Amino acid sequence: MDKLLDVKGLETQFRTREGVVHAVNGISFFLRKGETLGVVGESGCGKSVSMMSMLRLIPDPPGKVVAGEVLFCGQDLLKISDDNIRKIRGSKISFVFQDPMTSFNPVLTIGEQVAEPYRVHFGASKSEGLERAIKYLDLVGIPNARERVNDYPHQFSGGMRQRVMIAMGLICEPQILIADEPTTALDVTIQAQIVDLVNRLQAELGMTIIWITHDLGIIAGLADRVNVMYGGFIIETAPVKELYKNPMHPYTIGLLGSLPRMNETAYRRLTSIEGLPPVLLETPHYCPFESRCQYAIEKCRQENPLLRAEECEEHHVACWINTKTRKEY
Amino acid sequence: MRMNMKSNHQAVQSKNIRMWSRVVYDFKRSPQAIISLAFLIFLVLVAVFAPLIATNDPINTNLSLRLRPPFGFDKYEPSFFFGTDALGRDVFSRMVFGTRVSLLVGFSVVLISGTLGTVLGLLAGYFGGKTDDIIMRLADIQLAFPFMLLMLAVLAVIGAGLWNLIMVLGITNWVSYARVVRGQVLSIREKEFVDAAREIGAPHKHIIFKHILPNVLSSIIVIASFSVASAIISEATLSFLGLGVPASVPTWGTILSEGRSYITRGWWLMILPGSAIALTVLSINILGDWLRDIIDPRMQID
Repeated sequence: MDKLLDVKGLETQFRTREGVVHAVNGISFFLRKGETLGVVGESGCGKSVSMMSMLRLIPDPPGKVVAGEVLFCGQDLLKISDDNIRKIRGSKISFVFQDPMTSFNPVLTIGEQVAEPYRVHFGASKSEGLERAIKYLDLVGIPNARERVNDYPHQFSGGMRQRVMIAMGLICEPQILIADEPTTALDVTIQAQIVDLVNRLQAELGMTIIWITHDLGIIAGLADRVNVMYGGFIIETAPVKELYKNPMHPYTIGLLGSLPRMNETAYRRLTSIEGLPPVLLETPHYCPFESRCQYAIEKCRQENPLLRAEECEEHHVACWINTKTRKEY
Repeated sequence: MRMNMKSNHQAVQSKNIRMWSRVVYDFKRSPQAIISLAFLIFLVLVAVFAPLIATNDPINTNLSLRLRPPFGFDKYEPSFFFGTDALGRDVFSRMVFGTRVSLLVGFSVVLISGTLGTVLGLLAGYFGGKTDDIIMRLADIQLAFPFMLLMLAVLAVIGAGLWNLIMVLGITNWVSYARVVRGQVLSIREKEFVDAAREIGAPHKHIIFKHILPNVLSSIIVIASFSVASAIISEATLSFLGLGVPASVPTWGTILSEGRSYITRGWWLMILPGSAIALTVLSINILGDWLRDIIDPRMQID
């Protein structure tokens, strides 16, 4: 299948008082039409920043996308004019935001806000916009949508607001929906409902989704492929089943080990990864995970491994060690 | 298609009906707001029908009747309800006619300066950087300049007259709006819903006027309601200096400032127009306060 989005060597830096922070360090990945890509990693590993960089939403200063290409519909999103990128945001590629409690303007009605992307991009009238908002609120399962469009955000609960956010992300029928930790503010029952909802909508509308999260449980039920990020690098990428069955990178193994499993019978302590992720004030010439890695060897301190195909064609990993055999490649 | 259009129309209409019924409902339960609105409507009617209401010619002097007290006091002259001033002119008729200029100046100045100050404050706060520097340094320069001197200089150049006065007062009063609005925008633009608006691809104009402006509106209403008073007084000061309306045109401000020299012998010359200004401002304030509560959806109780 052809690639809908192709990101090559994306690199983002932030200039701070302490020096230049290398938040995203030349990541490359692609997106096929109709698939769901999961992006996982702990806080500060560059998940959100890389997504924001693609759509040039990084505030400059202090941030800057210093290198890379983001190919979408035959054009490089990093090169087109401000006006053209604005036309893509929200209509062709749209966001579902992390925090449903603060992402709504408290003085505008839900209907006005859901209709907003549609009205901004298609110049629809107020009543056309409202009618379409009602349709999408219905779609995401807001009961009584026709009456609720006139309500204000504070009259909705957290889970409802998250549904409304999704309706807002869908209203222009985007080709790509980027969901940035859309369920972190919600409790697990609502999370499960949202995941079901997104799966259903994807089947109905044939959308392509990028789902950013630090919750591997959600990814398992949702994604086709997964990118694992660490320290601004993609350190492992694989189809979801392959990743869970056969994790290769020590960090991925650590992440999966920290997860409780339903089918476990034997008593097992959940593992944790010691230490904290690095603050990258320079482009590392060593493996960023080296200081926390139990497999680390001398070579890890001297050279940063790059992503290479292992095991099967779709499974790439950036590590000097084969964690199965504990041998150096 | 036709069906669709019809139901669109209904959805929008029902929203408007709901909003209006809420406004009316709330209004009926707020006696202060009713009284305030009634008083302001009364003033507008007085201004419109001034020639019918006035009992005497407001500029006709009669030195034999000078400094007569208002109705109910010793030496009251019939038909001169509010007494007479130092030149024997009828204070009641002067105040009735004065309503015209005072209301006109008060409201137009607030409209001009409020619009100007709000827009500049929004731009300064939203864009920051150079835009902010330029606008706020302009504000500082204007504040550093003595107000009276600036007025005198500008009016001396462009000439005296009611509309020039309104323009000048309107343009010079923008700073208080701009500073407050800018300060609020600085905090609101960091809110997530502003980021969200940017991420859906909304242009700057849309973010500023649709998302930020409604959130600062309540502060603007409060400043505006107080500015009406200062505009009415400023008009008097400038008219007194010969740079506003001609001396023959009565306004509340001029009655007040002319009466100042006679405060020991003719208290009514200051008390009556002073009360008129105070009541007007109070009404606008109460109404503004009520309006602020009603337009803020967070203050609603379902």
